[in-house]
Amino acid sequence: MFNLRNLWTSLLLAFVASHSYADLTIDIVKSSANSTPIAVVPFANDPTSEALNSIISANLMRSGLFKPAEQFPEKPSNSAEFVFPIWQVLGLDYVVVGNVTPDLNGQFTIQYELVSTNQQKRLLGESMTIPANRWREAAHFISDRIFKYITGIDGSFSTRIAYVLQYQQDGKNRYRLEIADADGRQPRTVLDSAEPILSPSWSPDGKSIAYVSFESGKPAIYAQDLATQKRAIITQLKGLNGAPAWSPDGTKLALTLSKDGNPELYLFDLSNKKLTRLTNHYAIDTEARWFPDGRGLIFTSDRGGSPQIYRLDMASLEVKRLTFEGSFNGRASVSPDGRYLAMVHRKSGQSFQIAVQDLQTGGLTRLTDTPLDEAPSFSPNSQMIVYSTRQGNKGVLGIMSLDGRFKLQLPASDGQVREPAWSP
Amino acid sequence: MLNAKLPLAVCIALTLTMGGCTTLKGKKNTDEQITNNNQSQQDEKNKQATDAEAAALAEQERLKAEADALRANANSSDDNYNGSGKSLAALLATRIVNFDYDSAELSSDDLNTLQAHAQYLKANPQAQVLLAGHADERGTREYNMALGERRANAVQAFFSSNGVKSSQLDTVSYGKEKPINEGHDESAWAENRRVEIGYQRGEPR
Repeated sequence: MFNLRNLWTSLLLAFVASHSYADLTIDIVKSSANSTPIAVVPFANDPTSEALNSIISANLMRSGLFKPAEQFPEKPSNSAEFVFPIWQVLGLDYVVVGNVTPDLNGQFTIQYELVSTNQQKRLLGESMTIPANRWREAAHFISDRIFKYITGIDGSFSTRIAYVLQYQQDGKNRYRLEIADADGRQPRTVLDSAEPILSPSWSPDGKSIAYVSFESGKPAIYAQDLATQKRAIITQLKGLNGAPAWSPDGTKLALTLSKDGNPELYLFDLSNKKLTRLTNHYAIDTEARWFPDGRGLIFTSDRGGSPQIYRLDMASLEVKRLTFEGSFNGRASVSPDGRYLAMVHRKSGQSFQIAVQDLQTGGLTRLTDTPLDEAPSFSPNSQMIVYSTRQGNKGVLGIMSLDGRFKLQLPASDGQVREPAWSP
Repeated sequence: MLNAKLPLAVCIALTLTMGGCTTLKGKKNTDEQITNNNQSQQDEKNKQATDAEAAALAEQERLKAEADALRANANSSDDNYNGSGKSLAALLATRIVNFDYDSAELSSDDLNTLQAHAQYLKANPQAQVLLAGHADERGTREYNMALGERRANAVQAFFSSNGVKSSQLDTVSYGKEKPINEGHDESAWAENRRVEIGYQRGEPR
């Protein structure tokens, strides 16, 4: 794996690592009809400020697959305390219960159980001891376990979302690259700048992020270690330096440079810093993203007359067009399971919406009907897409299920959010 | 952690060459344009590359001839530059040229403005401009970054073909990151599709 330390620069900027910024809040836009009822009962002796059961309920609700109960006929703290019939009457088969025990070393021991009231038995039960300030992570972990047990799908509740926040200070725009929990909470600042920031891309190990920053007046691509905040300049060449995309094996970045005259895709090898040119066409070639197997890239090109998505084979460098529907298709990404392409799609004369294309059948489905939707990014379990959209005149993030039936928005309390990238 | 001393900068040194022919008249992509899906990729590529080069050359010739003609017929009076009905000072005070949707084609409306700046830059070789290309908010960010560059390059190519030294010209694209009109309608988009001629040195008074 590439060691970022070899590259680190001394560019010390106005880094601010504060936790005081406003959370992204959640508005449900569209809920799914056939979601599974579940009750997450308040944990006994829960000392946390948010309540663990509320975080778990909100997580399960945001998956679009569950409908958490808001009221409880009783509040058992373990599976031995249930009066099963009163749950069965309410149609609540799945019930989560738990309790918290603080110890003298500032740690919490959290026990939880998933119970089937129909089968009258415990399906899942675990106990964990955590530092007291890590309770949100514990709630996300428990959510992942419950989600996986019931649906068979890995949860994405312990993941994060990077995004760009544009805000006003003294009448001027400022830009901030932030990373929040997947539920929009605990935002942390990666970079704060007076000039635009765009195109964040996660390293496959989730420890680093690459992005484009205009802080020097011209665009440059940076890669930043999130734990140490140290960063390296990847390219700062004449012309465009854009659209970095970390390869699945973590050793390279695909990126867009126009140093040779017009926008082309290049490969930047992180170990020897060598650039290899991948495309050679007078048209615009940009917005590269990798197939999960690392053997190909997708990218946006207007070589056919209008911007469309193409596939580049890394071995042969052969290019094949993938999209044929619509007057604009751009900024595509491939789902981690390799089945779908999500993209910004424009049907002729209409606005820009998020669509997915089945890579096997080629069938295209539009998922949004709001204007100027952008930057779709898949959750690591391929179940959800985060994208940027607009609520009134305000830029917000949208999260939706892959069938578009479930949608919610994550607006910032202050400023415009965009350019989301879901962590691995 | 925040104030930790970081190791020295490592610069990635690469030789830069800004080569190739910059298309002066960008391809006009209308929404309704249906692309030739069936044609083989290679044929399409070759044909379009040749067409584009030929078109770019022809366009450069045409603009140069047009500029020469304008110069020849120029009304020497300062308050009617090139017969535009505007003074040279007024044209030089105009620092923005605009573009159509998804296009980097220079508009004939801006010809006098561009001519005036070209003439000024030739007469004032110490003057330097940064040509900043911008796009409207429609379309994806990085594609718009490329589109903004195409627009800045179109203005740069116009100046170069009119005798301005390359050392006086620099370009940058901000894509759709810096709109001058924050609106979300046709008139805002039209304003935002632009190249700004920013004098870094020797600004006309």
